[in-house]
Amino acid sequence: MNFRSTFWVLGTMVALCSSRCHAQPSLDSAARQAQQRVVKIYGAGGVAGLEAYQSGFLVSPDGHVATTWSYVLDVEPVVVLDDGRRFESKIIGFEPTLELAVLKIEASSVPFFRVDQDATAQWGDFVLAVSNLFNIAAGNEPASVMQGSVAAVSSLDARRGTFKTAFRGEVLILDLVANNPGAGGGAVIDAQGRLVGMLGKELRDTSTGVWLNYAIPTSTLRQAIGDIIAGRTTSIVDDSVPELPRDRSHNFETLGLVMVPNVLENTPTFIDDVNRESPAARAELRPDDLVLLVSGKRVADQRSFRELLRTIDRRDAVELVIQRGNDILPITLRP
Amino acid sequence: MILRIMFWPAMVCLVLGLLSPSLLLAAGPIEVHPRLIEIENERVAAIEKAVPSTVCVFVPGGAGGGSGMLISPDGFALTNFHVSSPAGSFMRCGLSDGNIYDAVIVGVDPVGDLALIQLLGRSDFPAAEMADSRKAAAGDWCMVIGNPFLLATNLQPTITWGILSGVGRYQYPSGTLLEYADCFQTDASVNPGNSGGPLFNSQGQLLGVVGRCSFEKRGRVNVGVGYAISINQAKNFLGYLLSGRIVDHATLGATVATDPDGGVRVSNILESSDAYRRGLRYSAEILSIDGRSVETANDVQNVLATLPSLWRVKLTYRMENKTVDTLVRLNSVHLQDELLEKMSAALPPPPPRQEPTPEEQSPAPENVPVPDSESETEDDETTDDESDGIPQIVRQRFEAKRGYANYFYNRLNQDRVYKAMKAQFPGTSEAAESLWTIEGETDEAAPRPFKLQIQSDKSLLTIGDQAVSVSSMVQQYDAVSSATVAGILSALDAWRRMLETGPAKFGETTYLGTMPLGGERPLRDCLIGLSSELEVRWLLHPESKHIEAIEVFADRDEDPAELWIEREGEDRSQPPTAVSLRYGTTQLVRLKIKSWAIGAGAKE
Amino acid sequence: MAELVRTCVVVGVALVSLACGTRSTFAQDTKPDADYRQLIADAVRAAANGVLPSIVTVEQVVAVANTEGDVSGDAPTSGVIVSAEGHVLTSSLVTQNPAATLLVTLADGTRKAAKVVAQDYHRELVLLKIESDQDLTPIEISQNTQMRIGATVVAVGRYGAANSPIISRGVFSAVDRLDGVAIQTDARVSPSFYGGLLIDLSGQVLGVLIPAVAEGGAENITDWYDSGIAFAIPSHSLAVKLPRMMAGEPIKKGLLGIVARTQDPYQDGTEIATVRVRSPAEIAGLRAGDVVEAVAGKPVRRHLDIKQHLGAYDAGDTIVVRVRRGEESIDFDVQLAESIPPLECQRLGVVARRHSVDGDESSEVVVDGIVPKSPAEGMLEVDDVIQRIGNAEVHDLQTLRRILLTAQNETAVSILVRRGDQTKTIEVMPQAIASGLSSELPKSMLEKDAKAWSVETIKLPEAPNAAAVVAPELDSQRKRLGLMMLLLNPGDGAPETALKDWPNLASQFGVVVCAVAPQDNERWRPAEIEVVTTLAAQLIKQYAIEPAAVAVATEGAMTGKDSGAADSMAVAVAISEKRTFSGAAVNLKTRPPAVRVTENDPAMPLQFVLSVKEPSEMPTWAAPLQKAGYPIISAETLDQEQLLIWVRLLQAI
Repeated sequence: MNFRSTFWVLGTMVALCSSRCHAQPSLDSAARQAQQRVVKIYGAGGVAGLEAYQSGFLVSPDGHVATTWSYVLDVEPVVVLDDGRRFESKIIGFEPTLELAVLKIEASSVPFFRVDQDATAQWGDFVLAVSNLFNIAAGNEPASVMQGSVAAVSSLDARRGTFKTAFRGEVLILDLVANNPGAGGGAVIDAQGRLVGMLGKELRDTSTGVWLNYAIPTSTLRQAIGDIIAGRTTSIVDDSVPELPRDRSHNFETLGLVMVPNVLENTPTFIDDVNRESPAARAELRPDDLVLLVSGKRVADQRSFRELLRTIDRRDAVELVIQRGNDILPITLRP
Repeated sequence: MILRIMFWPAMVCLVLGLLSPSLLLAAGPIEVHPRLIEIENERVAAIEKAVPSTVCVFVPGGAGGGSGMLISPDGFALTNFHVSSPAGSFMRCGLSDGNIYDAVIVGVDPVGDLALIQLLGRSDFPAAEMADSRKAAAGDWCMVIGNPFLLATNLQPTITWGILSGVGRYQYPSGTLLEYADCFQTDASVNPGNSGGPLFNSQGQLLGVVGRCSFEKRGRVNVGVGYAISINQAKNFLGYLLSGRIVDHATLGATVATDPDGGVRVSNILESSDAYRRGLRYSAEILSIDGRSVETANDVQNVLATLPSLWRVKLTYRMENKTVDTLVRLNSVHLQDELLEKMSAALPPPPPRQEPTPEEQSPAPENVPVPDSESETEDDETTDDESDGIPQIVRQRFEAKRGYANYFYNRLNQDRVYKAMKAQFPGTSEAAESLWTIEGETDEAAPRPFKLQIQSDKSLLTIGDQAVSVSSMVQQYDAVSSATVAGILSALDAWRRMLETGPAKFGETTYLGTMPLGGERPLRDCLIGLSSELEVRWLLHPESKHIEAIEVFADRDEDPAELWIEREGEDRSQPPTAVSLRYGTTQLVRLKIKSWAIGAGAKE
Repeated sequence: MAELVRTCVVVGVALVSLACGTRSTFAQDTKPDADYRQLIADAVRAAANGVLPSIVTVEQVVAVANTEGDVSGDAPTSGVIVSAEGHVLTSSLVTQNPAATLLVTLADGTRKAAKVVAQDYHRELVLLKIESDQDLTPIEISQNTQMRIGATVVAVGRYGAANSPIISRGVFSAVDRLDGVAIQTDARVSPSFYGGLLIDLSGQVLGVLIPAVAEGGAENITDWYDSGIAFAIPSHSLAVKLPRMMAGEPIKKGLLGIVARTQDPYQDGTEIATVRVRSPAEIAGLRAGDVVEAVAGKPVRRHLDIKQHLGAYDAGDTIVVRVRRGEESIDFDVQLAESIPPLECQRLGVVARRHSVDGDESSEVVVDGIVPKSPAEGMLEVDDVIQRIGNAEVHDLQTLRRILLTAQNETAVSILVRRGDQTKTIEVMPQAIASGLSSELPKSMLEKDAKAWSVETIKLPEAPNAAAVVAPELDSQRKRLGLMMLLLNPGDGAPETALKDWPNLASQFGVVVCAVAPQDNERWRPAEIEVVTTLAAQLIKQYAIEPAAVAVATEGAMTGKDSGAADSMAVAVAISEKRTFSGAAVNLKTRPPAVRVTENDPAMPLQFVLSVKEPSEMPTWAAPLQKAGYPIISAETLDQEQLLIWVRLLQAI
């Protein structure tokens, strides 16, 4: 009898001794606990054609509500609790770079999620997503619950304009279709019922057209929520690299690169020629080399290549990864 | 070491006892936690239990289709109205056993988006086990089985797994059709083609009928939200659908609004409604309907929209600090022909191109071939056209009639109920034009003797020294309309005539379906007969088959005369032991029966 | 010692499980499900980690973005290492658009340029090769994997700039999908997973994920991403196909070339109505009337089963087809081909009916009418009974129709007819359907004193589209009518007004006309294809409509009118719903819609009519359709009358 078959038998034993209870335990009580902490948020009517509703969740017993920063919050929004009670709310603070807003309603000793406790999710974790997607839950109906996993933990594709969001940190990619109209601001909880993220607003990859399902991790929101509740001004560093003035940034000429004629919507980044005594020449770049990466970022075409060079100071070196034949080579261009 | 000795034998016997394919550990390199293996096995087992009853519905000619689920061994299956209606009267149904069966439409519920069909050719179809869908809660695991995008060209349905995202959801109708009340919302992926198929709980019991989805965002692709009509709603309508009719939903005859200070109050009420006759008035607070408590206007609609028209259910309301428990007869959402007009706009199941000839042939019980098809094949028009390629087996069980999806099934049930009426006293007598003489005493503090004489031209009731009689239908009508004790005579005479003439000759007879009696389940079979001005309803118990009540309506907007019939024991050949007469919720008289003689009527 | 250790484990787990059994009897306690969620998370990670070393990112660098479909351009996607020499298997997503280069990023982040070795067009797979000096970890592909419907499965890929692992958890949904090619899961699979793996909790490799939709399911193969309907090519078929791909051999779907006799694919029966000209079936010697008993050793009951079993094979494979011919069963070796010469759709110009003999036992085909100026005129007569064509017996209309549709151009056919009490053989030279329109109906179809039909508005409960129909009374005795779904342009106004000048002609030529408006005033949506089809299906059932005479058309189809959104919608409807529609009439300036064109199928034939003065005007999209065997009739002038005659005569054979 080998090791595996031992386990095998155990399987059958367990089946016997716990066959009375649900094989796959219901998530109803976990769902219920989360639903009680999730709220529905209604704006005055929003922008024509857009939903004037979204979701949020309570983060303090005194009625602080965290939600996603959006046009729905254009006026004093109405907050509806799980028990059906309606409240006028005040926007007490927001942090656009986190897509975060915090509202306050005049309620006390309401059930809430603890954002201070340390709950970080990793890929593979089982999660529940609770929100009022499509505004299905009317009146005192509990919000909708969905189950799934954290598919990946990753920063959003850095290619410029890929996702129309100011958020630049890591997100929890989800394997459930959570980010629907009205779901923004919903809660994502882990196996222990702890809050691990806030559903973001709908995002669509502009380069591929794929709808993204994701949440912004609690760990990222924790400080800002704390600051806003405490009335401190938040200090989130914007890590997005700014473009430099033309005369101070790199361009093809400063590097001595001559690219193939830029005739297409997105012309490949093939090198056509290299100027003598230029950084490119010193780095022995050759015609027909294909530029793949600039300082680790992927170049889609000549335009994005030029844009990336705009972010690099003329006095600094430029790190490239190029393809020559079948070889992928790292190249450093020193001014 | 000792431990080991104790353990091995135990395990070996387990191995022998429980060895089955579904318990095999998968062949991969990684050991899986025993608890997970157990859970995996239980899920697979639940699916193996659920799959056989799942139906892939195909519209003949191949244009579209959907899903469905078998609910009885004789092949009755539920699907969506919006799946069955493009198919009309005939569809093909594939089961996971690899066979494709012909199926015929039975009844449709355009408001609730339900349709009942019957698969033909077997008497041992695998039927789904029904759950009590009230017990399901958000967060429960569930599965959807069906034929999304009609992928099941190998007749093996698609399984998707998820949880209930919400219960008691409400989806607004389009117009007044396809209204989803008290329905389920699930994240198990539901796509076009799943419509009409089953939603099961994690034990493989039937929770609901998958219906519409929210596809707004991405055209025809699931975005995490699917809806299912609760199986408890379907149970309410099953009897109605079996009647072969195009059935309608219920209204209270009153509008309600949620009170800002909590509770739901009447904002408007029809004076012609039964609710009004039962004392419901403006601003009364409604506490419960059909035994389900309600707190908001949504709750009220969520209950009412799951009930069939004409049902009589319990109503509890509070007015002037008094709580009133009563019974209320529900109105129809639509007027007489309104639903049919809406249907024609929504394209109903079509009239068959060749009219079978129902009149001369007797109502056929199971598997007696009905319309004579041979005679039709002589006539070119009938079978020449490929578009008429409806199989014999289906044509034999289809009969068109205005207001019905398939009149064949109504006659089938009229016949069944009538047989049951004949099989119990006084139906057991063969006397034509008979005279019933019923004697006994009233159930009062000071009992008085009574005598009832029921015959075609003149019926008579004497209690003590008082006597009332009716000698014409007009008088029968007045007796009921004026709510007098003579209503007994109208009821008994209607009973006598039905027994003697049978459904066909009694008047316009219909099998309505099943409904509660006095707001109580089990649901009773209900046969309706219209003769001259009177509408008569017979309610029979589903098991004992006893006639428990006969209701005689002079006008649907007035209280009918209710004759409640009491029996002791199961012996159908024995006369009833007592009858009582009620109007509304008040009893006029209760008569204890000593003798019930049936003789030849006095002929002039 | 090991023994001892094991027994301890035994005790331990046994106790734990007992405990859990008792604990979970408290309803309020969330513990057991919290335990479960923790266990499943750990198990999912353990299983994924087992294969992640073999999973790579595949990127198209500088792809020329395509605009069609939902998912476009250079979506980074996944691949899996299948050989130590650097073979990487991925999905056809990476070859959808031309790219300057394909870039493979290994688990450790090193980037390699990749070359395409071979493509499997039948299974949406692409095999790449990278040059690498480091040790690669190829996955093991097993011939016999264990697959249990409902078992937990995990999709595994890589995502984003950091090449991070990405998973999606679901259950095993079904086997033998897409005509026996793929397995199915409800895991939400987005484009970054394509080319990645589908595994079970024990780490077993079940298959490689591909972008795919069912035939007519959607315009683009990626349109079902995240829908809960996802497909993978199972390991057992990878084990067979990979060696061939490694040898650089392109793999294409294998065609047989038989035409079903049954009316629709869900009918029992595998009789062959006719065999395609110069098809593998014909070359192998299969004949009309043969009944297929088994394909590649597997017994079959329906033509659908035949398609299913062919899924495992490809062009070039030789399989045994067993047929029953008369009394005997015969085996034929058939070598499947990647293409069959396109249909040249012929017709005689007869309108016939099926007449059943002794109940439904058997039936025969009786000529009802002769189309004026057609090949049949003067050769066949009304009430002739057509008994055979060539060597094929004829018992029903679809057999006769399919034989003609697959007949060769300019090749006479000999028809055995029974006329009165004598039988005679008649040689007729059929005519290509594409060669032109008939301008008259057979006398038998003309309705002399037809009174105008009335216009009624109709609506589907499940769809908001406004529609109206010109049709006879429900109890009308008129038979075998045509049906024309008239698609309106966005903003064209109410359907009932669009129909105001149709009632007389519609009734005269016996064609029910249904005008349908799009849901919004901007455009037609692909989702509305289903609406048009459902409407048509219901009208066919409601009125005595001949299923073979159903067409979709637009105002723009008529001479002198302009093209609009409706035209390209009409083409989309016709091609996606060939089971319902036999003809499409549109404007020649129509912008071709984004639908995949499959070959014209004699079991559900489709033809087009355009108002074209001279051939030079033929639109560019006509050529590929003709190559796919679709007749395109160019009409000198196309007016209401011509249009209606054409629709009614779609049923002519």
